[in-house]
Amino acid sequence: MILLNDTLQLDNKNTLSHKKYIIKLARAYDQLLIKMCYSPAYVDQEKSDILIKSCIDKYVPDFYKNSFENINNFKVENLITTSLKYENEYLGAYHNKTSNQEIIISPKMSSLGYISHDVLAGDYALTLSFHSVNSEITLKLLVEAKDVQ
Amino acid sequence: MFNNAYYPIELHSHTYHSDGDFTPEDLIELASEFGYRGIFITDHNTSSAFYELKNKDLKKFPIKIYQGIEWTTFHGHILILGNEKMHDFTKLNIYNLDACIKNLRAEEKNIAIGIAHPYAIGNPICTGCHFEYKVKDYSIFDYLEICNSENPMDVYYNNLAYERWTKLINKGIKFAALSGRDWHKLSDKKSYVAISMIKADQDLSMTSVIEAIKNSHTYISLGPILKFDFGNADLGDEIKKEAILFKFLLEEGKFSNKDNFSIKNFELLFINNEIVKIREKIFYNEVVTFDFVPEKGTLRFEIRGDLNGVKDKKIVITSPIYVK
Repeated sequence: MILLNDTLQLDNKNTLSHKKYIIKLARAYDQLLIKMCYSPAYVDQEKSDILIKSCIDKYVPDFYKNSFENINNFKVENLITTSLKYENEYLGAYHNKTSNQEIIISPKMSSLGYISHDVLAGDYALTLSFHSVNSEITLKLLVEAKDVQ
Repeated sequence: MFNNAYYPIELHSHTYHSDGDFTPEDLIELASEFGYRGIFITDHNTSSAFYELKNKDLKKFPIKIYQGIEWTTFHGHILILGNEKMHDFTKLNIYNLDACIKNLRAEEKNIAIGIAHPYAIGNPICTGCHFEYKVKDYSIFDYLEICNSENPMDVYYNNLAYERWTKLINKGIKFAALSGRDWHKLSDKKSYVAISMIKADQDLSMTSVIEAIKNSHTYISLGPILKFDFGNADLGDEIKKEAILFKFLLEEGKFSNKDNFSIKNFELLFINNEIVKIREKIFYNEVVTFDFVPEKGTLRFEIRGDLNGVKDKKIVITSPIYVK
């Protein structure tokens, strides 16, 4: 059963913010499937160079700025993560720069970052955390409850 | 009688449950091979790697494995050690950290909380890595990670963290000297690391380790083992202003990386309220003693020496003793 199917258009106004979805399950299922993908994963080089310069200016005292002389080909990555709660119980997060994620929650085995947990009836809070959104990003999110037979 | 109850315990590590390269079992194997006696697994915003190992029976592993989590937020990374539950990081904002930690401590009685790499570069190069929270009272924390990552004495932001730490302890805040390898991937063969040495009971029980961190019974070392005897006092303790016989013994550590880098020409420093009061050469396996009356404030010790040919680098940093 598809519980959520959403597409978001994001830009740098979204960076450092969360978006929370409340998902209600009327009955128990065998597993919960969360698919999240976004693109682009990297900020383009020109914009990245500007961001890096500004970041170094903001955070690095002048005395230490030479530590960053070799940062030239570094590209800023966009980073969006998922985390999940069930009835206020925190079930985990997957903090990884993979921009195409498929997460399964189930009683016997959950995906990396999440604890195994029964998929019971009740309220789930799925949070997208926009740690770094520095491009115009399209994000697709699908949440599905499944019985595996 | 020298104090031998300090053990090498890694406080900051990651697995593929977040952005580390290791499986939880690989991480434990590497930690054991290195010479750690215990390790906290502190993946970003999850403790699921710990649960994975717990389901396989923690007793079958050669070192102690402790639960931890690194709250990886937009405005700072906060290490929570000894948590029994996982806690949602998304409730934090730049102004409510004091309240969130107060609530966390109400829920979890036996935890230690530290600020990870407080002066690392921040967004967007390293998201949330620079600590930017508006904190009303720093005593909500137990420690500041003053040495982060590999080759920590060559990392600029650790110098800033060390300076901040000395200011905080001299304001009377009890902050343990601790490090974190922030272990994500296989180490470079030439690298050195800062090792957190923590007082614990013989079983290295979680309770004793957390208690030691909270009481600053800790020191950091790049490898050598510092043994000491201050009579009835220990690192982190409060003592009266009176003459004390301080006895030290430096021994070579046996960590697996010891031949990867060079340390020599050691000096022992007594630092009383950030003024160096004693600076004397110290050699492996030779006991040195000093009869010293510290001034009111903080008294801490460092071993300095040549690190890969560079003079006067910090090799050992102890938590302070508080002189009342």
